[in-house]
Amino acid sequence: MGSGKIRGQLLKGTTPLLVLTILRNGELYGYEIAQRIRERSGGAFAPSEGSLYPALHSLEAGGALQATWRDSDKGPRRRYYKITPKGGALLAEHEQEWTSFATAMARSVA
Amino acid sequence: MDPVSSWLWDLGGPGLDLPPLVALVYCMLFGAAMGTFLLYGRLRRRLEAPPPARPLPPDWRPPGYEPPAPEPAPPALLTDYLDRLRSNLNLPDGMESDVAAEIKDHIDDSRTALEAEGMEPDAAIREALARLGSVTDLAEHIRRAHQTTRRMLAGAAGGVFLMPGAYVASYVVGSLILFAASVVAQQVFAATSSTSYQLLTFELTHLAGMGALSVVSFYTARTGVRVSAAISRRPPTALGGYWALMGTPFVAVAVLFGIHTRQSWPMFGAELIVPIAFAAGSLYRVSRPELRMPFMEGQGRSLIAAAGATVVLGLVMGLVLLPLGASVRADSINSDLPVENIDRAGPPPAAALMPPSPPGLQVLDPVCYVDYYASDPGVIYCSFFGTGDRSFFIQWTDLRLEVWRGVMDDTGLHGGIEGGSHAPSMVGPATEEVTDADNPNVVGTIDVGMRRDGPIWWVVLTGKAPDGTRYRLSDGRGVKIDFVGTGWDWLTAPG
Repeated sequence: MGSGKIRGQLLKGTTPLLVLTILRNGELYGYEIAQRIRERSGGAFAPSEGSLYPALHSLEAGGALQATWRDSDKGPRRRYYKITPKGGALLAEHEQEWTSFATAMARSVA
Repeated sequence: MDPVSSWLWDLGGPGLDLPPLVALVYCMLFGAAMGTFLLYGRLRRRLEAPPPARPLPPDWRPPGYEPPAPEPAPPALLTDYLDRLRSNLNLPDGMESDVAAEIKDHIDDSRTALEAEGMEPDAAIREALARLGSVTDLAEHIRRAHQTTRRMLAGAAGGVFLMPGAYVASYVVGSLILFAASVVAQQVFAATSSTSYQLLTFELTHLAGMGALSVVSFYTARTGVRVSAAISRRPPTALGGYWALMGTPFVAVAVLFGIHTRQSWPMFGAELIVPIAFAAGSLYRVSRPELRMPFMEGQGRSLIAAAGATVVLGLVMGLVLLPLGASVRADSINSDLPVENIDRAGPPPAAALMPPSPPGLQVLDPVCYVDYYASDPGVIYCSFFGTGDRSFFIQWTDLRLEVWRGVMDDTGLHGGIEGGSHAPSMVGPATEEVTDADNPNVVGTIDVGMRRDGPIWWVVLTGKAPDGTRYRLSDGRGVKIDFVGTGWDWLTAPG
């Protein structure tokens, strides 16, 4: 907490929102997604790497993401994830929920 | 019929006339396969079980003891991690490779980044693996990520769709093996003995066929569970109970109403084993999904459609089979006729009950035959041929065909019609039919119904003489009627 990291319990259930948000701006593969989340949150959000892939596969199975193998910028093939229209709608829904939640929490703890 | 020329109708399975040898070999083959399967399971369990612990001196070492190998080198750690990941995923081959390759890429990226931060290569691999956490948890969570509702439906649908295929495949393969076996057996019999290949009675033949069907049922259920587990991405142990619960009643109904054959209590019991075998196949040690089915990729829409069609077809067939199965007419006693028969003239002995025909009268033995058709069960068709003199029957009135419960005598009953006599304990006919004496040939149709306790009957022609006494006009003939119907017919029949 002292280093700015957020307690794991608070992050529970936010991984899909974080993943969809990151992928809104373009295709990425798993490791890149983890790095981007860490970078954009200033290190506050660091989803466990073990929970990232189940979340990615769950979103893919639900039709929110589409995965394809192709060569990466660094050379070797990587499995890239792309957000689908269904994923876009899901992201909007998650954002709405999160905004309501964050507002209510801010009011409550103010 | 020799086994070679009759092998084709074995493909239809029980319910048709299986040649005894073929059914026997079939049963033996499947029985051997089943026994091998069970023995293998027990043996493997025993081999895998840890040896019983016993106290040993602290400094004891087994002969040829070597100190334990050091922890695997980092590359071996990575290989081991990926192997364990794949073995715990239980996903189709293509998906397993994809997931393993993706995780390996992640580990490589992570290791490279850690090395760039100054970490030693070996330590970097260990750290990268540690960040991914427990390999079994990771595999479990990834597999669960694919357990969508649609996959669940597709899994159930795929299993249902595959079941008829498994049934047909096991029967066709079994029949082809039997064809080869029957050719060999025929050659062996021809070369070594003049003995007929008729090794079993007709009933035992059908029992053997039902045993084979039980094994097929076991295998079919197993295939269904494993396929649905693979498609739905769920462990077979979690689905077996549902399969047993949903499939067993369906199989029981199909067997009880769909298999039309010669029935008996042993046969009925054998029929009940088929759904029990289905339940056992769903539940008994089915732990691995069927992972090598090419149609398991994709979202499963075609599977759901195909299985829906299969279920509809099955229901339609069931609705057709149900009324066909209900073919029993239970009432075998014709009570409309007046009670004026030779059996009512007084108590036994038989000689008093059935006096011989008056001198001067000649009646030939009746010719009786029976028919077993499902639409017309338990019907005896009789023809009594007179002397040819049309006036023979004129002096007789109230001619009746009487059907008594019969017993086999020394001549036995062979081919359905021969010898026999009425049961001594009987004091009256089971049924009777008024006949027409306009013609010297008296023809009658008597319905004794389908009774579990009535396979043997004795038919006699009686008539009233001018003196008012009812006499027996023929010696009588035994008739054997096998109970041919469904298991439900047998269960609900009187007797």
